[in-house]
Amino acid sequence: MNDLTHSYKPIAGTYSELMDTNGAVRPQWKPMLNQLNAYGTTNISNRWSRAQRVIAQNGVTYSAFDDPKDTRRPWELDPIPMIISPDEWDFISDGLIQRMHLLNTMLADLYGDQQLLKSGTLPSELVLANSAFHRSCCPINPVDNQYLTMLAVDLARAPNGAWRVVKDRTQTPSGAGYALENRLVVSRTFPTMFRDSNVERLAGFFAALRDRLTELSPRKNQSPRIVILTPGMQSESYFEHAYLSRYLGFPLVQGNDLTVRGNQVFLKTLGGLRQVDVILRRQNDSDCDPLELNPASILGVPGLVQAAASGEVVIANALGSGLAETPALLPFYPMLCRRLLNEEPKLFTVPTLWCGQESEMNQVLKNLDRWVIKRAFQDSHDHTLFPQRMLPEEREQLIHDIKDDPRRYIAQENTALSASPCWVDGQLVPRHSMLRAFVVATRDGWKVMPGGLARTSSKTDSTVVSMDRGGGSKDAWIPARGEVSRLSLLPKDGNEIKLSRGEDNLSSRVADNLFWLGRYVQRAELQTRMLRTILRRLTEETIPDGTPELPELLKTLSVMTNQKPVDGPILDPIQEMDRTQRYLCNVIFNHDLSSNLHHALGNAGRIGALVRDRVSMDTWRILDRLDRELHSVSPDDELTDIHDMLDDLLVPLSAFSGLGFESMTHGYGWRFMDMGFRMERAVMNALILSELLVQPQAYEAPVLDAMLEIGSSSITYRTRYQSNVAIYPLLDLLIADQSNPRSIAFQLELINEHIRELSNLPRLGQLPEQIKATELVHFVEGFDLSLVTAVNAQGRRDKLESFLNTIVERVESLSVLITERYLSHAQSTQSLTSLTGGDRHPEEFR
Amino acid sequence: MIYRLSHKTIFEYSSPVTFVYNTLHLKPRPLPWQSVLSSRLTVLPEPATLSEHIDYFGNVATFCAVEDKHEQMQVLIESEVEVRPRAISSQSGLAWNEVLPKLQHSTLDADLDAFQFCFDSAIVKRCKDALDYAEPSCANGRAAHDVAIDLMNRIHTEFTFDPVATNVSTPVEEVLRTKRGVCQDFAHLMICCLRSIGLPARYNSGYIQTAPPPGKPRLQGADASHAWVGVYCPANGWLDLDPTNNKPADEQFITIGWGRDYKDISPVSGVMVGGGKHTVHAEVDMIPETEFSQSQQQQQQ
Repeated sequence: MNDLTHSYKPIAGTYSELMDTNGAVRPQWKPMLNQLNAYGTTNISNRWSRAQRVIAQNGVTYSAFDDPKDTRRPWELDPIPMIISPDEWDFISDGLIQRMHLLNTMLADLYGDQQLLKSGTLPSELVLANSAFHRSCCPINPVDNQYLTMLAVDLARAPNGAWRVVKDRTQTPSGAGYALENRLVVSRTFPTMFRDSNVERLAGFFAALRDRLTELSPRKNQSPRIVILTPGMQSESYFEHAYLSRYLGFPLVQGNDLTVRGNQVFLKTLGGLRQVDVILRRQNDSDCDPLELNPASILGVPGLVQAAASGEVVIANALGSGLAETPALLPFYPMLCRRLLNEEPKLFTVPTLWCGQESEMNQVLKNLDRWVIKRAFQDSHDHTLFPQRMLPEEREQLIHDIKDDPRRYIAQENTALSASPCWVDGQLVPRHSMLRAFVVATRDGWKVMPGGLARTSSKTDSTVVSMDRGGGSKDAWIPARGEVSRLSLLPKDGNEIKLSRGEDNLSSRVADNLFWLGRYVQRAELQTRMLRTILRRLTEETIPDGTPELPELLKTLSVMTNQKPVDGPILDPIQEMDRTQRYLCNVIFNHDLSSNLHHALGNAGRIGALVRDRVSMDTWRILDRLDRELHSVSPDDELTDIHDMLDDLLVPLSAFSGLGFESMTHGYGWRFMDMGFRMERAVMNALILSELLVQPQAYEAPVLDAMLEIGSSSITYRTRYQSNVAIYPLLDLLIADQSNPRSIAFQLELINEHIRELSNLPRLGQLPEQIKATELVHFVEGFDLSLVTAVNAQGRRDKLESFLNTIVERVESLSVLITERYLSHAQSTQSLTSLTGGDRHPEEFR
Repeated sequence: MIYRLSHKTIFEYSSPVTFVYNTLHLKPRPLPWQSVLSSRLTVLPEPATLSEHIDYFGNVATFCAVEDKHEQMQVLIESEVEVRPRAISSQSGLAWNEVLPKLQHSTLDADLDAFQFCFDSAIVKRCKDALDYAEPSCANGRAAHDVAIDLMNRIHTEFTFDPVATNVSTPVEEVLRTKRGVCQDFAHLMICCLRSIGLPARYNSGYIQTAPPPGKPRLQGADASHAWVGVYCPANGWLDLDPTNNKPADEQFITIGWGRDYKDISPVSGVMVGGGKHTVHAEVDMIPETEFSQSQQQQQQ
């Protein structure tokens, strides 16, 4: 009956999760295999391709998002869960709890009175010469002496079937969110199989985490404010941070969103400072406080160590916990377990030797090929060396290095990993696998997540699996012995939720991002309109008099994008078609320029991803589409193709403001976004008008036509005036007409309204920018445009020029005022040092 | 000897600073040979937070946050400190190469505390150049403290005091090559040499009394903060040596505190928001009690 296992061949020399040594399927796998066989190969494959689309749409990614090469990697999930029997799981759970207890007790000693060092139990240089031991964290006294609120442990199964610990993750134990997402995808894809397999649920683990974080709050009498601190988008697991934030209901913040005042930590919101009680941090110890930890870190919160030491804020895991990740400590755990807990260790570690001890070093050197060599302290990232794969001279060098400074190295046994069945090309094949398990502290003990994040390697000879190197993942199922407990974190009762209409908690950083999102989208739109106007003239034979306005348009484009054509201005674009085309493609596609269309679209997309939880799904889809639209053609394509692309691009760009208006609540977040949008439009329009109209050509009509096209006001003009274009009515329509949504006056009116609404935020009142915004509206309203159409002796409309310049300057100064008042926290910090040793030249000090 | 000490540091920024968070190591720590009779810290603008704690090395540290927008910050510490002669150990010391093996297996508090000063720290990394430089001082069987004294002597003789040759981030290798620097460079170099041969060495921060030119009055603000080296031997304890002036620390030295290097004990270190470029200016006055009346007259004039 077990069709799917017919062709399954376990990997020689490794433990097979699926089959025993006789090739019989292990009992815990049977119910699932029966279900899989019932689904059938085609059905499984169809369901799985649907599931993969869901993963892509949910935007589940792992790895960075910070360069033009777009390194976001979609999350790789295998549909076949790893199954661990309940008896075996009980054993693993006990071992994990013991390990959590042990690491926690050790941390309490090493950050406390260091009896382990004073008694000579541990070689003291493991701590004293360890950069993961943060002396400034010694005054921190965690609640209940719990340094670790959460622990992740990487487990691997040796060929003899025994589970062993490969690595402990104590600073930012990541992966639990991915495990949950895996569970949701797999259980939705195979609902019957999931239900009938009676699998232990994961929600209880997250409920325990949420409860524990709530209990940790130092302010007992009120509901605590709990935040998740993320390093931001550059973090490889940013998706998980955002995911946990939504799932647990705690806001996701970055270092810049927090500030220490007194000994308290506050979240900077538009409504003012809000005290934070508990921080679930997802950044490394050294990145958390540039004052007391790594001064070069731009991710941290200055004073956080001090605040944590005062007990006014609780940070989970406690700052300094990374010490327990020191590889050189691994060999000492069995001994520490007996000494500190008075227990025999239940889970063993992968055999590890620290070369800092003489006999251990000799043991390693005697049989070097048996070992994998790693750094003893986590000074550098994964520096794993495989002596048996080395050239003779590399080996000699390694031996020399170890002898030279033995304490810097550990040796670990090169264990073969067990293999689990994976779904590859419509059949089950074995892949090496590991399991990351999770433990959370509770009030009276610890709780293990029943399951975890299984990881697989696509190579058949792997011994070390790491997601950084492109492995896959799996759900892990523990069949329940009895009825599974069903628990959901969704709110139970409507009446428990307080009604809230404000956006008091909107952080300044999010507001800043929304502001710039608005500016970049509008910048992209106007550049696209300008480019389209130019390309249309280059590709269509519509105008009998030729296109005398083209050089003017190109000049204006160069001002808008801050990018001049190479080898001087293009005087006759039609004659110099090659140069013109090269220049235009540069402005559209070149990703090394800092203010062209590619840059504006790229920034809109990047910022859009940062504020994804603040804009509607439809708006997000628009932003997601911009980049794809741009790359649907290449610089080598025909100009007509590029022109069509610009046409297509204008659809989502124009839809952006409408969607924002319709689908975002008109709270402060929306106001910042729209204000950025309006400011950009006002400034850019004034700039374009100034470039095109201040120095009029002998025959101005084609320029005026182009101006109307860029301002997308041609139709309005024609319906109103039914005649050739003239300067005065055009200026009226594009500058002063408050009923034209493209006019400068229209933008200024909305900016004024936004600023007025923002001043309703608590404790603000009449503000200088409010006065200035209103003044600016009146200035434009009261201006007699008929006075600025005349040219002076030099042939310039100097009055128009100074009028438009005034508008640009005043809007930009409003932008500065707004940024200073609400958004200046987004500024980064720098370090300050004094000097010792006499009168050195001050500038030599950073 | 009793001293009146005043140390003012002025930070000027090219653009306004919205917040600044500092850790200050300015208040001298109490020691068997040093009593702090009084000490007063003033920070302008008025800090929102000012709190004192004892750091990991036992130094007095102050956390200070200024949250008002400002373009200049002043930190002034005024202390009255009594310094007495230090007790000299009469024990015969261990040979320099016996110290590290002894420390590795010792469970005595003092040894354990000293052991951490054997390793690389943020600024001082042991290196081949420093080891080579130290080698001539390491005669077979020579006592650890004597090796250190010889090193101090050689650095003082072979190196030139030059305030413009180096900056805070000049590496030890370069100081060794140019043979120039200030007290901080000499201290870091000597620490590097000592650690490279396996001796625990720490960085002391404080002040030294400078003698005014004969017949001339002491000039206000002419003194500077100073740095010197501590070296440890399990039999004799710590010995403080000043390679800049080629002498052991005595009653002319006021100790603020110590650490593995400058970074652990820098007088003012901080993080700020805004500020653009900044310049630092410091004025130190260290007036011995014998000149108290004189300096008062001077101030009245």
